[in-house]
Amino acid sequence: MAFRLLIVDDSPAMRAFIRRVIDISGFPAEACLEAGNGREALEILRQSWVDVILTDINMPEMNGKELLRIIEEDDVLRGIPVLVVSTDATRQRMAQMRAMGARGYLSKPFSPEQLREQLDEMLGVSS
Amino acid sequence: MTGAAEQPQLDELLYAAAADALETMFFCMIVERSSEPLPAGPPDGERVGVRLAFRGDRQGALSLSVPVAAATEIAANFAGTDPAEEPAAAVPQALGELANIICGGTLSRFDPEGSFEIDPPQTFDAMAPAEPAPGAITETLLLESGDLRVTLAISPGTALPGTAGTALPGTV
Repeated sequence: MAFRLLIVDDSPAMRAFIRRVIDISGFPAEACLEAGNGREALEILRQSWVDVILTDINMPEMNGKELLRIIEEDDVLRGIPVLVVSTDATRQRMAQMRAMGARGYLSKPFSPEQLREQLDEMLGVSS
Repeated sequence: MTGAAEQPQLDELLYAAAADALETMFFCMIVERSSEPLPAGPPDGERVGVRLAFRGDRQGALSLSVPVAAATEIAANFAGTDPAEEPAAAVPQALGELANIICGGTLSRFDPEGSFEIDPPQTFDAMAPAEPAPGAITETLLLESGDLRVTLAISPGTALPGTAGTALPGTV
């Protein structure tokens, strides 16, 4: 089975890096869609189904917290697991994002193995 | 500004965060480390610089500068491309990511119970002579293609709205 991913980050360089790391990790990705902020992510989600969302927190227009809040309030989108990818590794931030509905939290820097492990765990993939 | 007793710890945390970022996501090995202060006056050779501010339980700024060749290699490693093919516009963006990761890594290590927000990185003229902020610490990391200089200035800040906040352990 291959999965459809949505990468949400305001940095095109970071989106490209995550895409590359997913490829390197050998994770079975059918498609990697991209959005530059939460608003763009919601536009994509209105048109395309994805299996998992990877999102940054600090972004212009709509940040990761707001995106997570809207996803959690939506009966359909709520079922999509969200992995927060952030430089903020404080316990408070991790707890806050998990309390808001994030299924996983990956702090930067991360290796391909760490990303793969998170995705496998969230999507129930056995390596 | 930071107190003298806290500085050695911050040095180590800054170095650990920088080394972790460089090796894990930018595939750069550190050949040598130095905590010596920057020499006065403009550095030798053309350099690229980015800096960012942060706020929250701690506030301050982190800046880094690196020779153009090393900056290009860092950006190419991050993008998985050949340095010769790396577009110039991608270099500041990659350095901005590096600064962001080093800053977040240092602050998270320094106060795991704290909260902070990092502003978007901005480029600055790394060739212009500049005095480091009082109390700022600098780590110089020698990479294969040049030296990366990371400077961190940190002081107590104000708890962010919507966060539980953490009492500051005195003046730092």
